Parts: sequence; C-alpha cells; structure tokens
Amino acid sequence: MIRLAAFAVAGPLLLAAAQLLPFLGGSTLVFVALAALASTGLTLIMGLGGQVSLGHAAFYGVGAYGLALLTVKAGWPVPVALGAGAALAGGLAALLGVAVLRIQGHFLAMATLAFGLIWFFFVRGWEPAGANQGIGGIPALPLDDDEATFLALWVVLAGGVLLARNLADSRTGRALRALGASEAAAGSCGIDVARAKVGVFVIGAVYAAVAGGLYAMYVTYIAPDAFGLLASLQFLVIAVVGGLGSPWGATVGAVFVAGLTELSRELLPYVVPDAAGSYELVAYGLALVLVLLVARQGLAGVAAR
Amino acid sequence: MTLLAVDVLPLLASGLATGAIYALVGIGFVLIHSVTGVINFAQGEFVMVGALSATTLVATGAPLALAFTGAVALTAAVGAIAERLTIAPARGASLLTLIIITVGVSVTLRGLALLIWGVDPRSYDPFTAGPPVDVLGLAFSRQSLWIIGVSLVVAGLLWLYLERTVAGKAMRACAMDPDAARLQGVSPSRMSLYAFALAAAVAGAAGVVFVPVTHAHYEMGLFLAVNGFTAAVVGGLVSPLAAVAGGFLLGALEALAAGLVSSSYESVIAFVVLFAVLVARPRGVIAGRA
Amino acid sequence: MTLLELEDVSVRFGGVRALDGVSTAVAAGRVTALIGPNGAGKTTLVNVVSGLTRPDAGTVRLCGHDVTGRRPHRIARRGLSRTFQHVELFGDMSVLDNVLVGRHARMRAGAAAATLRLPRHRADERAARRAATVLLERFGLAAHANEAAVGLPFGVQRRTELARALAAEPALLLLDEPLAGLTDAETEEIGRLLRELAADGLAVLLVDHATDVVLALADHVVVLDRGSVLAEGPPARIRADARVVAAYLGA
Repeated sequence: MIRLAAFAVAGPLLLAAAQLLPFLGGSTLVFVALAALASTGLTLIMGLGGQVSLGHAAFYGVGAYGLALLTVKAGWPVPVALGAGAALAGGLAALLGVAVLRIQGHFLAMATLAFGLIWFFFVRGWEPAGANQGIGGIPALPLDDDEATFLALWVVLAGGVLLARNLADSRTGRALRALGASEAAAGSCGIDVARAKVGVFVIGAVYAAVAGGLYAMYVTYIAPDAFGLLASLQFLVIAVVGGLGSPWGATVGAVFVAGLTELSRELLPYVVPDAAGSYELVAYGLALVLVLLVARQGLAGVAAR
Repeated sequence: MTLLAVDVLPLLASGLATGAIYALVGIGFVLIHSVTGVINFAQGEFVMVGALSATTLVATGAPLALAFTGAVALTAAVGAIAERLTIAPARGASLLTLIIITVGVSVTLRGLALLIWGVDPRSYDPFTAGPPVDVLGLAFSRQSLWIIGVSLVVAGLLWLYLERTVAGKAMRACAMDPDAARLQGVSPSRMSLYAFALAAAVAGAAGVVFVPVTHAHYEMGLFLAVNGFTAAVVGGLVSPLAAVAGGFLLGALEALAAGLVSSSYESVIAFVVLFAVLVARPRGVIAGRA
Repeated sequence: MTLLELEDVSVRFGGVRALDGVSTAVAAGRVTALIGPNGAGKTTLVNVVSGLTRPDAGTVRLCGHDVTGRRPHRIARRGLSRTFQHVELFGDMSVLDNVLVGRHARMRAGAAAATLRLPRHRADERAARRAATVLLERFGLAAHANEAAVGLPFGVQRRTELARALAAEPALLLLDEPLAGLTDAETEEIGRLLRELAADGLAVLLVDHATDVVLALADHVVVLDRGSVLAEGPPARIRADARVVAAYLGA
C-alpha cells in the first residue's frame, strides 16, 4: 500500500520537477507516461515471460492505428475503438506467440525483430491507413493541457503498474518465472507452457495497444514513422534500463530515457559541434550496454536494494 | 517466356552482387556464433563502419587500395574494441543480457555514425569505370563484378585461414569444443576477440565494395544484418559455405521479387523470409550444439 | 489398486527400438522400482509416462484415464508428479516458491482473479501457502524457505524437488534416479520418506540402477533390459533371478 501511494505521489512530483527543469516540457512528460505504459507490457513479456521482443512497437501501432481508423473512418465511439485496438493487438500477439513458440533466445529476438519490421513496412504501404501520410483528425483527449493530460495518464499508468504487480506476484507470475527457468519442470507441475508463453505476449501487447490508442488521441495525427524500429528500441531500452524485475521498472526507465534524450539534445551540440540528426541514438546504445554491464537488474532493481 | 528472361536476367546480376554482400555478413555471423555462441546484432553496423570510413578516406584523396585497407583495419579495430568493452566483461551473463548488449552496440555504432557522418548518404565512384560486362549471358555492372570478386576472395582467404593456419585451426577448435581447446592452451577469451575482429574485417571489406552500388548511410546496417543472418540461419549457423550459398540465393530471390512483383516489396521479402525460416526451423538447425 | 498401466508400449528412435512392447503396472500403496542397466530404456520409459516422448505404439493409462501421447502438463493434472535425474529446480526462485509452483495444478484462481486481487485469489493463495509450509516442515526445508534454490546444497535441492512434486498431491510419484549424488544419511532420509508416502497410499515409481539401497527400498521390482521387461517380482526373487544377473553382468 505504501508503495502504491508513493507511486501515485511520484506523478505530481514529477510534474512539479518539470516546472523547474525547462527542458522537460509538458509534452515530454506525456510521452514518458505513454512510453512507460507501453514498456510495462514489454517488461511483462521479457522480465516475467523470459521472451525477448524487439518488435513491441508493432502492438503500439496497432492500438494507435486501430483507434484512428475506427474513429475517423468508421465513426466508432472512442472507448469502443480503444478496446477494439487492444483486442486486435492481443489477437496479433497471439498469432505471433504461437508462431514463435518453439523459437528461443537469439532466434526469438530476430524473429520478433522481423515481425516488427514486416508490420512497419506493411502499414507504410497500406493505402486505407494513409500509407506514408498517415491519418489525421483523430478525436483528441478531453483534457485542456499537457499537465492535466499527464496526470490523467499517470493514473492510467499507476493502474497498469498495479495490475502488472498483481500478476507478477501470483500463481500465474510464478508459473511464468518457472517456465523461464525450466520448461520441462514447469510442465511437470501442470503448467501449460504454450498457453503461458502466448498469454504473456498477449497481455504485453494489450498494454502497448492501450498506450498507442491514447497516444493517437494525444497527437491527433499519426504516421508510420513513429512505430518503426526506433520506437521498438526505445521501449526495449526503457524496459531493460528501468529494470525487468520490477513492475514499475519501465516507469523509471521512461523517465530516465526522456531525461537522457533531452539532455543529449542540449549537450551533444557542445561536444560534437557539427552533429546532425537524433543524438539520442548513441545515448540509448551506451545506456543499454552500461546498464547491462554494471547493474543488470536495471535502475529499479538497484533502487530496490 | 523470352520476355520474362529479358526482364529477369539483368535483375539476377545485381541480385547476385547484393547476395555476395549478404554472404559476407552471413559468414561473420557464423564465425562469431560458432566461437562465442553470441549472435552479433551489430554485424550490419560493421559493414556500415567500413563503408562510411572508406568514403571519408577516398574523399581525402587516398588511393583506393589504401582506402580499402584503411577501412578494413579500422572496422576490425572497432570490432575488437566492441568485443573487449562489451562482450568480454559480460562473459557468463544470461542470453537475454548478451542479446541486449549486442543490440546496444548496434545502436551505439549507428548513433556514432550519425554524429560523425550525418544523415546524408555518401558514396564514391565504382572502382573501374566502363559499361556493364557480359558474363555467361548476364550483364554485370563493373562494380557488381568487383563485389562478387572481392567477396569470393575474402571468403577464400578466410577459409584458408581457418583451414590451413594454426591460429585459424585453434579458432575452429574453440568453436567445436571450448573446454578441450582450453586444455590445449587455446584461450577462448582471445578467440572471441579474434572472431569479432575477423568478422568485423570481413564485414568492413563488404562495406567498402558495396558503397558505389548502394551508398553508405548510417542506417544501412539493419537490412544487411537481417539478410546476412537469414543466409547464416539457412546454413544452420555452423557452415560458412552454406551461409555463402544462402546469401547468393537470398540476393537473387529479392532481385527477382523486386523486378517481377514490385520494388516496394524488396525490403519486406527479407524480413518475411527470415521470419518464415525461423518459424520453420526454430533452432536454426544448429548441428550438435544447443 | 493399479494406478499406472503400460500396455505394449513401443518407442523407436530411428532404427533403434528404445522400448519394445513394454507392459507393466504400478500399484498404489507401495514402492515399485524400475531397474535396468544403461541403455535399457529407463529414461525413455520415464519420458513416455510423463509425456515428454510420444510412444509409437501401445497405451499408457493413469488412474484409469488414457494418457498416451498427452502433453506433460495434462498428465500432471491427471495425477502424476515427477522428479528429474538432474535436479530441475527453478533456480532463481525461493524454495517456498518452488513448492508453490508445484501446487499450481491444485490452485483454482486464475490470472484475472489475481490481477484484480479478488477475494477468491487471496483465499487460494493462503490455502496454497499453508499446504506448502506443511510440506516444507515435513521435508526439513523450513529454514531454507526464502533462499534461492540455486545456491543450496545438493541434498537440500533434492528434497526441495521432492516437496515440489508432492505439493500437487499426486496419485503417482515418478522419481528418476533420485538417490544419485546423495550421502548415505541423505539416502536413508529419502528412503524413509518414500516408504512413508507409499504407506500413506501413494504409488511410488522409482527408476534407478539395481543398487542394494533400491532393492531394499522396493516392494516390487520391474527389470528392464534392452527395451523390454525381463522380469518382475519381489526384490528377493529378482535378486536370485539368473536372467537378471546375466543382464547386468553382460551390460
């Protein structure tokens, strides 16, 4: 209970901190909340389910495009469209999960990478979804400004983190950790390994899809570029650097990555004067490597000790 | 049918050239994986480093041969440094950790390249000027011939090294049985370093010859990695020879698909084939090794 | 009462007949030892019974249900628990958690109830923890309850695996070479526990080599040699059986 209260308070605190740090703008915080929500799903897939996924942005995209298409093109009400997007992402995750059941380790990583890229190229060329141009005119969130949006999203995030914690600390959570350690032994304890593996993929995808739908409503115009490899890598960095062993690891990771991104945008021009392009890439890579060499449980893991 | 042949054959030539690049990338995957058990997600970035550094060397007026050697040496150094800084300290870490570490290296290299060379693609002229050459009925651009030629030479040199030199045989021994190798005085840690440096050098060479055809760009690595890995997996991740065959096959397949179906499908083919191969052969058909 | 029935079970790997028309039965309330020299087919039999290998012919019946070729988790839910030759614990999890995973099949509340922390889930967890704690006490593991399994002494690991297997309240307990690597004292302890469990009504199937300890422990012995059942009966009779002796000498 104390932890939950602390988490809830952290949101407004973050907002207050943002007022003091000019480069952490309101919109940055909104993205932090959205990325944290999506990445919490990845934490479940990778940390609890033990499966690497380098294509998580595809589910984020399904949620976003699902919401966009169903509201703009089909006139569905927002909550229904959001739910439908989540269901679609879940269904896609189930298909992926079943396809990659027998694939492990590096090969699974490659397979999910290929999956994410296939989805990305598909959406980029799909006319009904606006192809490269994307979709605009998405109904906006019924909130006045970034600060209010952030707080509302933080509540959603807190809920998501709580559910994740409940899941991890349960019979299902134990079963998932067990099959990560020994599939044969897990099976002998009556655990349906296939169903558990696919199930955790589905849950993780739903997290990403809900975040994606909310993202679509925040920006009101979406294009394929936001759902490519860079996004998947961002989610990966957030989940891993934040700590795969903790349900609120992704949240810590998202704050960290946002800070890192903004910081590198501010500082790198001083270090490399003629540099162009997205600086955060280097920072992401280094963060990933350093965390894994120095503190494998991620930031949340270190904080917990 | 003749109409088809006229459309298809020119594509095949360029497809084979691209395939040669995939073959070299694939060999690098096989080399590193067989010696260290790691799938090097940064393999494509090694090609990129070779390509971009060659463009810089050529731009400063260096003769081609010097640019080639310089770029290859630099890439090998990058590979070695990456191994020492990231793989060596992570010895014994979980699979998940190792995967993410090499992804981290890949992203870092991409980011550094972006900072150093910027967003715009860079290039230089083909090694020799002139019209396409007719070989066995197929019209090969001169650079395509250079690519295939250099690739075969590099692959051949690597084969010689692994089969005929003591150092190379030590590396193979380490790949087959690290414990036995250690008893013979071979250090798996050093072999890991050499494997990375070698794979990087091979990738760097591929990069240098590939530039005139594809232009060097900080994002070029990903696509090459996916294809190279597919080629390697088709070969079971143990056989460099099969990786070479796989690379050429894949290149030809993509060129045909691009020409016959649609050019926008060229990239997707690679990913779809990789996904399909992985689903069909989950363990990548690794003979005798878990 | 017969708990496990194998009828004419055959398994072929390529050209090798690992099991050739094996028919036998395991009864409740006693310790049955399945012995045989290396290559006799013991591991294959264990894998067939537990669902890791599908037989090419024959039937396997557990508690009257046909479980031939069923997946491991289904067979487990029908009443089979097993231990592994090389202890397969969930290393990073605590001893208590390992045993709780063993309880998995006996727990009712699912993911939805857990996520929403419904009362059903909480009651389920409480009951499971109570049952697990009882087992930990019985196996002398209470002191290690919160320690990670991977760092524990081998004997403690073996006991943890046994406790985990029993957490499911199985009808048949299948043990794959459970005594390997144990000290004499630990062996005696495990032996005592197994006899107790059999006396309580459990069907204990012990797959192992023909050591004195195993033969002393067993009520009934089945001898496997080159994929078929060579002999069956009380330990004394098996010990004296010339064919059995020959099989072991010739191996």
